[in-house]
Amino acid sequence: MRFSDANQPPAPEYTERIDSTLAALSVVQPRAGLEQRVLAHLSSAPELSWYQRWITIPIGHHRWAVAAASAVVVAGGVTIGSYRHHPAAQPAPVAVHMPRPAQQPAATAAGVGVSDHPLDTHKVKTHHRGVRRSYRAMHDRVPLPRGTAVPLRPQIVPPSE
Amino acid sequence: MSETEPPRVNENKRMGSYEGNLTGLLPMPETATAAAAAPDRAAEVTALVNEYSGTLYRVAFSISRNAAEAEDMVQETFLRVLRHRDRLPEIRDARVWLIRITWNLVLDRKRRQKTRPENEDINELARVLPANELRADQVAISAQRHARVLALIDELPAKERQALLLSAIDELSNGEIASVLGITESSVRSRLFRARRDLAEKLRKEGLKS
Repeated sequence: MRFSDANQPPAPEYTERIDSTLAALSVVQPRAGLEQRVLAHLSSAPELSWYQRWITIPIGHHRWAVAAASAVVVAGGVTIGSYRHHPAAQPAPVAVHMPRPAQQPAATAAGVGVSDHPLDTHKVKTHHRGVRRSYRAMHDRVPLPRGTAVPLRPQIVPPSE
Repeated sequence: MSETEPPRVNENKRMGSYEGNLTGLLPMPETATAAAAAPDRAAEVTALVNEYSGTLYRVAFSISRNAAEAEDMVQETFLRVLRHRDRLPEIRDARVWLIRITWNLVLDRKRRQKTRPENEDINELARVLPANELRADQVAISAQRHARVLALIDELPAKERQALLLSAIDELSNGEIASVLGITESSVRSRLFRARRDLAEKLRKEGLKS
């Protein structure tokens, strides 16, 4: 097609041919009884559950936008809920390990079930739990008053003699 | 079906328990207000089926070129209407709304399908075109000519092709075509112009005249 013909209407002989075909499409007839078959099909169709109805919403209704908004609301709720259970804004008290002077357990004092051998002393059970504590243990503690200086590293106090 | 035509009572009775409309076949709603509205909705769907089935069939056939598939699309359209019948009062133009549902359904299915051989189109066209006192061989020749033009229409860009095919359906106005396609009326006019111009150029190259 030449550039000068771009805005020209098509020649009449071709227009007739096009119109003839389009007219044929407009007079296409279904088999007799289409309405009855459609109604019979509808009457036998099962009812959908709520989620199936949602999936088959006709195009044009923004179902995915609704789903995305719902997901955001749910995610926000979950996030807020988790913050309420874990108050990160309030600093948890730092557990400081203060080694105590060597002290013999009560059983040792009573002289029952403890070896006298000097190398067996490490087998004696102690209640040392280390710096790391469980979440419950941390929260059962009474927090330090505000302004209390908390050392970053545990202070090692030499055992008093 | 026009309103002047008598209801097809005899055909309905031949289908056994089916009584010719959907009233009473739908589940009963829970509230009294909804219960009063339910038969109206069912009657409304029945009226839509009777009035627009033929139009929707032609819409589906213009894309699918397959009679059985077009009928399936009509049934699927009304199934969706029935399942969302509560929205019927919100619909301003039922004709355009139904055509749009069918149009989208057919396009969805068409995208999933491979291209068909052209002689399948010819057979389908010969089957669904009204004979109008033509002999069988004349109908076949006519179908063959139309199928060739339809094959050229299929080669057009999608936007122009869709506007052109919709313009053939029951004389849809440009405004209605614009509503179905979700574009402006001026866009419809320019697409139609380009479609006809390009199609005429293809016909000229192939030496096909009226």
